[in-house]
Amino acid sequence: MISLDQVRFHWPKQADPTLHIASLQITQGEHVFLYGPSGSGKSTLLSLLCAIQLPSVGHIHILDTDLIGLSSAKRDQFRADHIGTIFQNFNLLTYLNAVENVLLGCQFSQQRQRKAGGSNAKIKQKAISLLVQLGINESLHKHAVNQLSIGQQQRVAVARALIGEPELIIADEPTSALDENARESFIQLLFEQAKHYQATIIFVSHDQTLAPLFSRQLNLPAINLASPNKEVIE
Amino acid sequence: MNLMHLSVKSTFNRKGAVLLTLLSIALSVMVLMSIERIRHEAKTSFSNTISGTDLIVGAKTGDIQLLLASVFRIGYTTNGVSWESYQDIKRKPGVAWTIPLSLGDSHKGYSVLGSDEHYFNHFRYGKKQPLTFALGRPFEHIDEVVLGSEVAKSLEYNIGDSIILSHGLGKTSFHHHDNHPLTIVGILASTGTPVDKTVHVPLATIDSMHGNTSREHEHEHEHEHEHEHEHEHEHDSHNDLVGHPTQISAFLMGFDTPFYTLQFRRNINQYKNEPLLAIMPTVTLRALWEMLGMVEKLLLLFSLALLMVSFLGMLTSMLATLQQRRRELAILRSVGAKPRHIVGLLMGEASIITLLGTLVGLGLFYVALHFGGTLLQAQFGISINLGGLSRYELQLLSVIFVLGTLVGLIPALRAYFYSLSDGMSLKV
Repeated sequence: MISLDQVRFHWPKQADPTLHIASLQITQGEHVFLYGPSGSGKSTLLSLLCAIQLPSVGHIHILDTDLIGLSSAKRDQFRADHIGTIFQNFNLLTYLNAVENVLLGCQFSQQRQRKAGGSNAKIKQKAISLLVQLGINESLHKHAVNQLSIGQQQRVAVARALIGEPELIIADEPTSALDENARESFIQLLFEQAKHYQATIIFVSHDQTLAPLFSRQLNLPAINLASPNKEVIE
Repeated sequence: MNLMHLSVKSTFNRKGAVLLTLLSIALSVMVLMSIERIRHEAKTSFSNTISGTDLIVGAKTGDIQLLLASVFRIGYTTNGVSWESYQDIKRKPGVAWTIPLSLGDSHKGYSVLGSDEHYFNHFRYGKKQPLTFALGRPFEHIDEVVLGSEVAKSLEYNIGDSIILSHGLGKTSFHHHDNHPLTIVGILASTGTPVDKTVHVPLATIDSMHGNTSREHEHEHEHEHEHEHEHEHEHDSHNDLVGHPTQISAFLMGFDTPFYTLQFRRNINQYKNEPLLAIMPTVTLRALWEMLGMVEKLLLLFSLALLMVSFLGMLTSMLATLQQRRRELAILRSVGAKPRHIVGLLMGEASIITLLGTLVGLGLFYVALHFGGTLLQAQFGISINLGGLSRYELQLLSVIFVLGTLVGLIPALRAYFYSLSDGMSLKV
């Protein structure tokens, strides 16, 4: 599903790489818990996995596609087609209602539109049913999203990441704004939906209490050869 | 939901700034359109004031001065043409018709024109259209008067009413000729020319107003009744609309063929008995319009500058809000929006604002025309056509729309670079 091979990344104007991963393999359907202190390169790794940034050296394959070989437009399309993202606190467009925010997930990908039903009506139906399954009552669907609670907003974001069944779900600290009880149920909901089509989940958090819920835990400083925190960890 | 839909929603998410920008574009579109429409209509109504007249003849003065006085009733001619010269020129072979014009009097601010029946038969305006009567008929007696449409309308005169004429121009003439009440017998149809603002009387009336004729007046007290009878009788026999003027202000001429025009103009300009000036109205009208052209271009320039200022306003507000929108752009990028979608979003916003601004401006323009049109007609005699948009105006609007959309390119490119550098690492 995902394989990284001798990947190095350094920001322009910086001499030392921020990230250096010799090898990383993630298989289809795995739920990976990626953790590490801030500055350990989590965001950088996510940028690489989302095909926002390209590694300076090395190769990243996702779904047997070599990201290095793609033009920036193709990478954008690849992201639109295959990757659903959930972020900590900049997920939703406030001028769209809940359903419209979910629809945004397959707005830029015909492939995901097809998977979500094809016609506009069917896609909308799919968005509504996803929201309902995630516990967002239909009465809230037409509300401006900033009238929803933080927990509800994050579930709308999950629905958006899941619509059109992208193979890879990347979640960057989606639970940090939630209280402890909500965190676990949020993750359960996410897993439940992802299970339907064997989505791979990469879940980033520094909250290690969540780690046991995942099938695999990945300590980034441990695999990041360039990590400044490496000594601290070891 | 597509990109346009997204653009609309995003735009109206920022109502305040957007509405202000929209309003400023609307206002400048209104000003630009109004100026262009008035300019066009002024030009048309200007060149339509007189047609079919080959020469205008007056005392020696400036071409434009003669044109302004004789056609537009603006200013005055210090000297006139002597009646003898007029009669002489009138009788030359090749002259099809002449219309004597005697100006210099006014009635409640409207100029009084003394002429004869030829005025109604031969005067042409616009595309060689003759004068027509909305009501009544031409004057046939020296105590009868024919009003231009606007005079009748604004002074609320009707057929059969009596009016008193005064000597001199302007509304506050001290010199009322109270003893010469005239009866309104005709009201002309509207022409959109200075004719609408003119009170037409027989030449003889002008003369008698100034007390030139009335040798009979000496007998007035003794044989009032007899005199009246005699007077009427005299009129019947001569049908004397002309009287015995010593001079007239100017006269219009038409020839059997326009080829005579140049020859006649030369001869009249070299007329031996008195210094005269003959002008070709079309040529002088063009010269006058070219003089006004400067003002016209300046107006256009100002309205274009106004439009540019509105566009700059839109640019400023879009660039200012761009910082706050980096979050929005990052979200769009995270769901797979390509840079061209981001550019499309921003340009879409600019074109939405411009389009709505243009439409609102167009609405305001028609409202302004509706209310300003009557004022323009009353003050300057420019009749404004309230009708649909001309080809030129549509082109102008399209250019505005395209320009506005292009303005959006600047914030769009800026956003594009933001979205490239921010990627999704942005944490807000």
